[in-house]
Amino acid sequence: MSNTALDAGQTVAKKRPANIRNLAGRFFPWAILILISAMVAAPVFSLVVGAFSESRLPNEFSLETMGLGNFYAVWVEQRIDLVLWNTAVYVVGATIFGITTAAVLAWLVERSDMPGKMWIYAGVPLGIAVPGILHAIAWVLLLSPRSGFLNRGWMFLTGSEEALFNVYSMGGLIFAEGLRLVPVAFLMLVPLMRSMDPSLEEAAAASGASPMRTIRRVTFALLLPGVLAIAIFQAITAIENFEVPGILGMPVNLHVFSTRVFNLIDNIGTIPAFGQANAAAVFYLFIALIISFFYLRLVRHSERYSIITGKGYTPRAVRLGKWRYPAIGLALLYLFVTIVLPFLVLLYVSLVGYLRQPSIEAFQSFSWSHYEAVFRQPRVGRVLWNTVSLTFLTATTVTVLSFIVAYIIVRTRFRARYALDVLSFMPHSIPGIVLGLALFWLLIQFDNLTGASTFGSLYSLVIGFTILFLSYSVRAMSVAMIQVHPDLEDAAKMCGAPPWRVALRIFAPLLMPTLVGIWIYVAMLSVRFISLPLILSQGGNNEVLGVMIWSLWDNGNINSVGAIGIMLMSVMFALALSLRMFGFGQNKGGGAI
Amino acid sequence: MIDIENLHVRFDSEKGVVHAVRGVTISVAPGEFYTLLGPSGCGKTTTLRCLAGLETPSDGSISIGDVVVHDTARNISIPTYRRDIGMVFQSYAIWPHLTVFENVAFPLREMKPDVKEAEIKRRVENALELVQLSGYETRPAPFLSGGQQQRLALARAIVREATVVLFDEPLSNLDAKLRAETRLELRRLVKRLGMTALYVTHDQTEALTMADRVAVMCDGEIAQEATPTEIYKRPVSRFVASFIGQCNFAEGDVLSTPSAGTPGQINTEWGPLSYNDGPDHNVGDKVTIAVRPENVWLAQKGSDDAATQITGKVSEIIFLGEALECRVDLGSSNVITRLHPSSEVAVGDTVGVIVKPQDVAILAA
Ligand SMILES: Nc1ncnc2c1ncn2[C@@H]1O[C@H](COP(=O)(O)OP(=O)(O)O)[C@@H](O)[C@H]1O
Ligand SMILES: [Mg+2]
Repeated sequence: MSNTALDAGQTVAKKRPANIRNLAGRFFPWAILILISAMVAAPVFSLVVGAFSESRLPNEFSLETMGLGNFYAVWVEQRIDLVLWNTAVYVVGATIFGITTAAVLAWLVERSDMPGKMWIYAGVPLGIAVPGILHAIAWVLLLSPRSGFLNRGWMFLTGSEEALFNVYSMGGLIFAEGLRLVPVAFLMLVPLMRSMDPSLEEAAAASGASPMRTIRRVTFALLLPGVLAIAIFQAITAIENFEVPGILGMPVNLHVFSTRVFNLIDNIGTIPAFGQANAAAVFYLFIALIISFFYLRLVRHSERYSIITGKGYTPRAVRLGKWRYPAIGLALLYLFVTIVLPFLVLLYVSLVGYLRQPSIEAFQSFSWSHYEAVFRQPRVGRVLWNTVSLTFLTATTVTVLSFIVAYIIVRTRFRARYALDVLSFMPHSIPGIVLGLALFWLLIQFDNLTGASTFGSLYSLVIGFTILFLSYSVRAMSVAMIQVHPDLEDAAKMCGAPPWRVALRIFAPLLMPTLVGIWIYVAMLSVRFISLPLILSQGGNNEVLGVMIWSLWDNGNINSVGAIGIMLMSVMFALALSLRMFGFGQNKGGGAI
Repeated sequence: MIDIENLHVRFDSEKGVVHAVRGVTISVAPGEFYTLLGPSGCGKTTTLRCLAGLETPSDGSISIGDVVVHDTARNISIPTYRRDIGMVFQSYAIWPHLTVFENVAFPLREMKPDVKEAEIKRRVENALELVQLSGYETRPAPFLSGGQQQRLALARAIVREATVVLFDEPLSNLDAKLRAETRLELRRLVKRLGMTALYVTHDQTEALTMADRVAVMCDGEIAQEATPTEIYKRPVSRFVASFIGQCNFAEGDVLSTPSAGTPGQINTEWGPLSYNDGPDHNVGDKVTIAVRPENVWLAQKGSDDAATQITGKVSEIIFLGEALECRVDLGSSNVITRLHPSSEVAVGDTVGVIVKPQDVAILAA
């Protein structure tokens, strides 16, 4: 500033690039807004248009063959109302089971004097490392009515003709999906319980309320709005899930929305009904949107309860007394059932000669041959390469994009930042199957128009996953950014750093744990998620590991599924451990997930 | 009304055992306003929480009224909700999911036998009126200001008409002006209702203005227990004297003890001083004396008896608004005095310092 007079000539010369940069700075947020809008609107638009198309195949689409026939067919011929009912029972059941389990675990870890808390606290989130498809397959191996290990063991021990439990049932769906919801619900419930000022409960005791009454009138009542929000969030996850109903429900024609939509285009022996699938998906999307709407409303009014956090708060644990050991026993049982058992079952089938009940001979037949067989498969190299590329591309794209979007929402005065906020949340309510179907239509039309070959490429999956995982990561990123005090940036600006240098030198390092956390978490999701790749997979170019497991399972190649599953789970556990060690800072434990 | 006998509390924390309360014995008379005063971390809250049953003592016994609520030796421990108490928490602990009315009605709804709805309404309204919150009944509790939340917490504590009401730094979250107003209001209310109060604070002004009796705590023990006047005028230790306000200290030897109307004499590092009473000492004992700044006078030139003066030199004057704080060097030591702002002393003046015999407090040991 002070030397302006000295180099006046240079200043004039510098002015133009500065202007261009200014202009770019002004338009950049708009460009991002348009990009995000397109990511949400284009697939949904093509989905809806496709639902009205009565041509047999997407690439035969024309305006002449439009009508309401698909909706009629889906509602009347396919009895989508029954699917709706199934979905409702499945979602409500799984959510209640999952949230209750998670709440008990979170309460034990956060508010009681249960011994060995740290193990449970560290162990429960590891559940996200078990991909849904392997989780479901493990339960089939254990509890399928005729050959499930547990059922056979039960029949052997009791001499009963009846299986203990048939996992190919609504009860099985609810059980398996409920267990899968626990880790994330647990991570969301722990901060909620931690933020509750114990003196609110003490005040009830000091007012003459007995412990039972205190729990009912104060603890439950206070936690209810938060728990409800988390429950709805989990319900969205359950309604979206394809893997568990796909493995446990589809074989016995027990359909929920996600499997029905898939079934309409991928049913052996019938012609794919693309238009009808779209019509069903429109119903599906509509219901998911309604639930998301309730979620947003609930979360918006949550500030009413913000004073749950009180001052002068010392952590105090409820004494469990003689229940201490039963409590840790229960918690360990959960860990065993969701993490150890699936791993052991898959390990067994991956090593045993041919599939049979565990026995001495079975153990004697253990060998690595199935692992060798997997690597002898010609497509395996391609699939691995595809999976790794997909994971890296998706995780990096999502992390960078969500950093930019969150920065605009949290830290700029961009006029349309609220619109951007809402738009970036929208994909959360689009189920993976629906998005897969939508992209299927969109990319085919796009390729028809431009002659490109996006359909069937790996990029189609990257695009799909980026859309799917964006809302989660934008939210996690915004939460972390809000916690960085603006003074820290202002101090840097005072030192003369331009905005991009502030973002790079102050923001990025402070947010590093979050960036790393989001990257790893999105990477894990990309490996776990199979609904979207299943629809978009067109052979070698973009076949990924999840799809390969699905088709191996479909063909009854159970030993190979076990071998691949064990290797995949090992990688996932490593990722989950690194997430705990490097991501989100130690104590927050991914509170925003 | 409240009797605490030899209370000990030990916490097992990661850093080892913390002995937070070490043998506290307190006896509060019915209707008395009793204050526990001490710096942060000295064990006040822990003592109070033991009384409420929210913390389990490691040793000792507690009774409220005629009821023994805790006795470690006899293995008696009555849970909080069966104790006849009301309590105001430092964080207020106002339930955010209830309205103002329901917050206050809560203790009544927990009573056995059930209280009739009309009676609940009457008592809640009465309590809200006492704390000047009438008209706020239907408001959700989070939409109250800090001062209003504090009064709501008070209403909730008194609505049960328990015999004992406990306060844990109830005013520490209010701003200074509101705190000053609330102090006396709160005392008057408790007195009017005839309740016995145990009040915990780290603010000496609160303790002095509100209490009938004050116990100063230090490191889990009671350093001194006395009326506010007594504790201010006759502190027993340097810790108590300086915690209760500003104080000058001096070392000295007893030259003669007071007897039948003639004051005793002490030769202090400031100079010779007379004193009237204090713990028994013998001639020749080494003692520490304490004198409050407002009891250190500067002699009017030529008017006072020159014999009782100590000559010194003014080295610093600080303007405090309602007073001047003035440091006078007396040879190797110095003394702080408080003067009226109209005083005309200036830095560098030679002055005569007077300390009256009744204002000299001799510290025990
Ligand atoms: N639950 C607890 N666990 C371990 N130490 C505690 C606990 N509660 C209080 N303490 C310790 O006991 C001492 C007294 O605490 P407290 O009674 O809260 O002090 P005060 O109210 O006088 O500030 C402090 O050193 C504090 O750290
Ligand atoms: Mg305290």
